[in-house]
Amino acid sequence: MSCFPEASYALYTDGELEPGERRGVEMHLVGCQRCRALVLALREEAAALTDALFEREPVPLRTAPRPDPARGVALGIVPALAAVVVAAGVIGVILELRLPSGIEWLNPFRLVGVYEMAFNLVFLLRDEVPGLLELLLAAAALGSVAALAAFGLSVISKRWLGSTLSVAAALAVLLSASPSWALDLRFHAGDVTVPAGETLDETVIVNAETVQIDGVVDGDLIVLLAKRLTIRGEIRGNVFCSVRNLEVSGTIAGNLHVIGQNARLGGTVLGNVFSLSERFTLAEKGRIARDATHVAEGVSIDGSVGRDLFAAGEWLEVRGSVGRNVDTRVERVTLLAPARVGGDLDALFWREPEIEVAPGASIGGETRTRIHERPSRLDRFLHGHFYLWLGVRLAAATVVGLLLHALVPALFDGRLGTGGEFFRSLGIGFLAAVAAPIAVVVSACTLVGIPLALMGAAVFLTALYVAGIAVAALIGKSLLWRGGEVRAPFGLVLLAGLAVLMVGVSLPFVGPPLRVVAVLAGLGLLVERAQSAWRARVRGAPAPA
Amino acid sequence: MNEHAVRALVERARTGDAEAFAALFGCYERDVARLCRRMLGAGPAAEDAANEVFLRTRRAFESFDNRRPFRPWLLAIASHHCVDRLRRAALEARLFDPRELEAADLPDGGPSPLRQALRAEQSSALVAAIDALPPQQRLPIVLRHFAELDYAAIAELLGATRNQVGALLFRARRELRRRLESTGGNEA
Repeated sequence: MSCFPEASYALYTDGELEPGERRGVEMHLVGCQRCRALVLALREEAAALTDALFEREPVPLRTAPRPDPARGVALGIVPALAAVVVAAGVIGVILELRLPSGIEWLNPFRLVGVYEMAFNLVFLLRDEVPGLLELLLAAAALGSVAALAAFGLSVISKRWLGSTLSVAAALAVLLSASPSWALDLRFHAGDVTVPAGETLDETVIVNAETVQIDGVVDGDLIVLLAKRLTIRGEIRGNVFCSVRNLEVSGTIAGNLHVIGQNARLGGTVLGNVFSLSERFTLAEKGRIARDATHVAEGVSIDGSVGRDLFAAGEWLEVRGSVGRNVDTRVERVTLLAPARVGGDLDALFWREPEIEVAPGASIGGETRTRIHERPSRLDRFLHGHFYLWLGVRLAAATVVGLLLHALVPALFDGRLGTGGEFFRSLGIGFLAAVAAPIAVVVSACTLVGIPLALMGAAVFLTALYVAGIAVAALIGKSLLWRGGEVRAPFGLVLLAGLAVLMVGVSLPFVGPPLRVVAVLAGLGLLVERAQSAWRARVRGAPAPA
Repeated sequence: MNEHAVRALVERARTGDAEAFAALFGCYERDVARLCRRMLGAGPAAEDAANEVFLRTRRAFESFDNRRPFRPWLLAIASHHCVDRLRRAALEARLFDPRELEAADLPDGGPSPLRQALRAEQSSALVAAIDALPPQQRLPIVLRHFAELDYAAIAELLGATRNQVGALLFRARRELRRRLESTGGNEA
């Protein structure tokens, strides 16, 4: 549809169009950014005229021009409900049914295949696009350091010099930072070997196809994205590695942190072991002096763990010894002779407990088997504390919302949009919800980026919470919408919206998907607000007099 | 003053309570004075008009429907009075050139609407620009944006049709933009 003449938008802004014409204009506005901008400008102009004539302080008007909210909601509700129903169905099927094993890897809640896929992707990239991963890693590492530096600089300089300079400073730091300035990163396309008898007196960060340590590293060893890491020698510090295959037959004096597909420990770790892998094996001669924590599809312990063992994933098999307690969240626990557990065995199962303790295996303390009880969806509505908690959460969210409103009022501007806008927010929110954790993990994988990743994770979690509040405020606004504006105080608007939202997401069956939709839409909204605020800031930068 | 307090005053004024009526009018006295100033220009004529409006309002008060808001009703009376005065001053019943009232031929592409640049410090510049407009453009702007009347009410006051009011307002805003852009462009 072609645009209407400006005179029509002037009439629309003044609320003087006939209903038929108004509908036509509104339909057009939904799809035309340019005309929306015009209507926004006309509204601002009208407000400026009124303010000037009333000789009163102008109130900032940032309300985006939108068709009648009731209409927007009506447009949005049907597809949103359809999406909720579909999402509810899909999630319900995934959670409630066991998929046939052939497509089990599709289930995002299970570990099967995820590592395989992730590693295959990484190594495919590595093999097919040589240099790309190295470049990304270097960029991520430098970017992390530069971003931290820039953040510090901007905090310091903002007071005196304004944001323009801090952006320039950030760019300068980013451009001037060299790898040696950040950390000693070494990239090798082929193999890296530290031969027996050789000692490296420093922390080593290495990225290569295969890494073999036969000598001594007198510091930490950090290995990024190698295919194979073999440690036959001695590491006097900690080991942090993300490798496809890890084989340790030497000694690690500190802790071992491994993200990998297969990890096999046949040597000695004098500290703790943390592993996130598909398969972790502590071989017969392997020894972990302190605690072992594994999240893996399969964990088999043939050697000895000095203190506690924690395992989560599919299965755990113990033939060796554990000094203290064993705590599991796996589906199958097997203790074969001559397994020996010094303390208690605590096994929590999600389904039917599968636990086998062979005659030759011994458990010093108690064996406790529990099934994680999924409370009935309707049960909780019968308990008073459910409503108490609802009240507490409502109060907390209201307080946070009021605080935010005082600090960042722009966050709560605008109205519940049209169907199209709702879905755009939803899409942006979905992208943000997927991209942010990936960015955090990638950043954390570079190790130097861990501080940045932690900050990012904190920001992300905060955003998830705030997203709900922002959506609630919008809901509240459209509830209390009377005669073209909201006359109620913000606290009341927020409380009304939060009450509706919280009751909605607490409903059985539709509640959880509704929560997902609300959070994603809110997240998208926050991203859009941040974007427009940033744009406004860039545009509104003080020009020279 | 909130709606309830106004209603209570209206109720009391209805019973002939002169004090209540004075208090009621007092709430909006400044608005009436402003409206008269904007429509007639600053000076004794505007003050006269404001006093005259007080008397007219008291006479017309019996016909006021308490279910409707008071301010628009009052400002409509004030607007009527000002338009009457302007007509008398022009010695002609027709305030507007019929050509001004043609709704057709309102081309796009003039200066774009005033943005927030004009919001904060330049409010007084905006008022000055409104005051400087010729009456046939100033009146619709003041009636619309200060008296907050709808097109039908403005049309009745000015003896025009709703469409003509739309065209008048459209032109008036354009002219305002044009003037402000040519004077304020360098300062912004």
